[in-house]
Amino acid sequence: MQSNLSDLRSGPVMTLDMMRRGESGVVADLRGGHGVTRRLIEMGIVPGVSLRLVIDSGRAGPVIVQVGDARVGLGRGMARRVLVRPDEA
Amino acid sequence: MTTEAAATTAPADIVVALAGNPNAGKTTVFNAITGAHQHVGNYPGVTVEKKEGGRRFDGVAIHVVDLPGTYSLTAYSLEEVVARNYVIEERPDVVIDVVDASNLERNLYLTTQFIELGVPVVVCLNMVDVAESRGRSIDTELLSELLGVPVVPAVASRAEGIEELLRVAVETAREGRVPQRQVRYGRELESHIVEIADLIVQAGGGTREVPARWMAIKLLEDDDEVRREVEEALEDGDNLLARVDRVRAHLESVIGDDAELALADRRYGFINGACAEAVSSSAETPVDWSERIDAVVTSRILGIPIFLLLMGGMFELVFRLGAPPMGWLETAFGWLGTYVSALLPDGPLQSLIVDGIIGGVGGVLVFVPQIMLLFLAISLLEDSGYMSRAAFVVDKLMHHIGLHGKSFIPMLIGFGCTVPAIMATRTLESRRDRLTTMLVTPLMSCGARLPVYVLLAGAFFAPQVAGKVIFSVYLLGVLLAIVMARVFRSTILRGPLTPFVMELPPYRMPTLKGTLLHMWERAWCYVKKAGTVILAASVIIWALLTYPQPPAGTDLAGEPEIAYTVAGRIGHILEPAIRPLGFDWKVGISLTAGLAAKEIVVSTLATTYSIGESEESGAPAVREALRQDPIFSPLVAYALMIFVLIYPPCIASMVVLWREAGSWKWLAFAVLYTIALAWLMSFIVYQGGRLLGFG
Repeated sequence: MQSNLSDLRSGPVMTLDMMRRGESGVVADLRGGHGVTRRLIEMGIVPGVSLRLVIDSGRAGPVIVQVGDARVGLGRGMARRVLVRPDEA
Repeated sequence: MTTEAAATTAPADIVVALAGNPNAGKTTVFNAITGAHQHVGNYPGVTVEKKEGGRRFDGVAIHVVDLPGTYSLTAYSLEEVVARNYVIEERPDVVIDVVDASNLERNLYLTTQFIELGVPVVVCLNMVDVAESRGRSIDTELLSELLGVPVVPAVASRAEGIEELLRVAVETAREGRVPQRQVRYGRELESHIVEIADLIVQAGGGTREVPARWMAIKLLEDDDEVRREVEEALEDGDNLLARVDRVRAHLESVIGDDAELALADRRYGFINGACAEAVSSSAETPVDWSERIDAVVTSRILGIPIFLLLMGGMFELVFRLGAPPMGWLETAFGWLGTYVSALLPDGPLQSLIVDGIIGGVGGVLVFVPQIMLLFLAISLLEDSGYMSRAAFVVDKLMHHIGLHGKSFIPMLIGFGCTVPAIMATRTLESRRDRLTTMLVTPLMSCGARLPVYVLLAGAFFAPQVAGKVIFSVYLLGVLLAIVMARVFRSTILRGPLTPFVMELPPYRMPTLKGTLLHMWERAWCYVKKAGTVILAASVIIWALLTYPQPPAGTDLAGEPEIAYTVAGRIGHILEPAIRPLGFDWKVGISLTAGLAAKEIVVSTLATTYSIGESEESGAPAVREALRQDPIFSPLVAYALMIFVLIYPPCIASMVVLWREAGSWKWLAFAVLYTIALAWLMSFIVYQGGRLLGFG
């Protein structure tokens, strides 16, 4: 899962909150301030990591993603700061 | 370390610090190591709970210090700073890093930071059974070699592997064996780490305790604490920091990313490399129950109804199951009162013991069964993993009041006790969120307020509706918390909404031992309070309620003797202020006493009424006496319950709020706003009820 950062810059990306339930992808980048990035890093959400959207509570609601064996809940605002390159379906 | 438990007074040969992620089973490991030999205190200067314990192993006295659960050792949260400073300053002989084997990669992130710090570390690979049940088998020897630190598999909930863990920990501590490997950050990053580390050494920094390399990495991560230390302790610190900032900017332009992100990426690379070799997954992935449960429990349609059902069920359980043992205790204390009355001659001593102590403390202790059940329910919610789902489910709702789902956990704990609830606000990153949550958490009705409701609802409402009446008070508390949070967030604590991220641990069957221990720790605080604060308050209040006694022949204008006492006079002074709420001076006495702790409202009512009118003591007698009092009606009782719900819960919670908020101004604000709100709500209920003809 070691990432090559330059590789991640190519291809279409979307923010995590745009993904649909069951869709998976690779984290391309994190946006936002220090504190935000740090929390995401601790939760294992870093560029190059695969994740899958497990639950989407819709509109302004939070989402749950599966990252490896961990499950992480993110508020909508936080999900917007995670850029994901979706896997080809 | 200032205080030591009795079991650990012997000088320790080895000091072990227990670290790990939240949810990795750190507490279970701690319990498995120390058994009953525990001591809970605080880290100096902060209100982070510090658990310590002792154990003799193979003739070696081991002292175990439980560090706060953290995901990393940045200086981001209070817990992280406390854990980090303990390891750096107190230099434990060995750190046991508890790692959840079923969630290995994320948990090892913390491990890499201990490795970087160069302290002797032993990894306790906990819950290997869960990992195996998911088709993951871990070659611990290989993992140990790849990480450069000893790795011991364990299933702490069954105490498996604990002996081996201690053996390895003692060995590692004795040899002072530091990690054998380092995370390598790639050419670009490494060159800058080395450069900055050299500068640190030249400036006189970097020791065995705080390696220069570690400091360099932290500086690249823009760590506030280390920056401050460099600025203060190193010569030419400012220049060094300026150089660091240039390097950070340079890195950002070269790798196109935050240095922090690049460093994290390499750490995960190191971890993933090790895991790829040491962990093998069987092809078939067994059913993931957590995912299935989550699909239902956190779903858009069922999430909220299930949540409400669980909450409702919890209260129903507490009241239904708690009622019979409470009755037994009431009978027992009533019998004890009668027995002591018969034993002692009439007079002040008999009154002190029967009315003051047995009536006061007994009146509080009868609620122990219900309090224990409430704590049991909260422990079950926490230990099973549902608590974080509840936070998730309510996140969207919480957004409407300007908070996010995480704020809900302190509020939920608030149903048990306001003190830990206020402390639990530490998990919130933004100060505005924290203060708002702290200010509204006292509105969540804590266990100590329950006795007041039970007494009043039991006296004035039919048994079939009493439970619902109490539930409505709880609900009102929740609604008020929502309204007040909204108000605070749009006035004095306005600001942007901070984003919400939270781990959702896999569902676990709570272990009997763990849950009971959890419950007991909390219930014991309640009993201890009854034995100390409430005992003292009961005696003082009894004295205030007894003296001075009216000289013979005084005209009391039809009022009981108690009106002549100090407390009676205080009550009379207050009466005009609370008359519009339907309360008289006797209620005024109880409410004043209740500022110390809510249980005291009950014991004061008990003392007031048993001194005032009846010869018997015990709760049934108090209920009867309340019913006899013409001032009371179901409406007044309800207004009183609401007042008790809203005004400051107890001294302890207010002290904690003061410390956590860091300013007495917030304390003053919290006290004043809750009293004002309590008055207003009781007023609306009482006067509104009278207009509607309920008076």
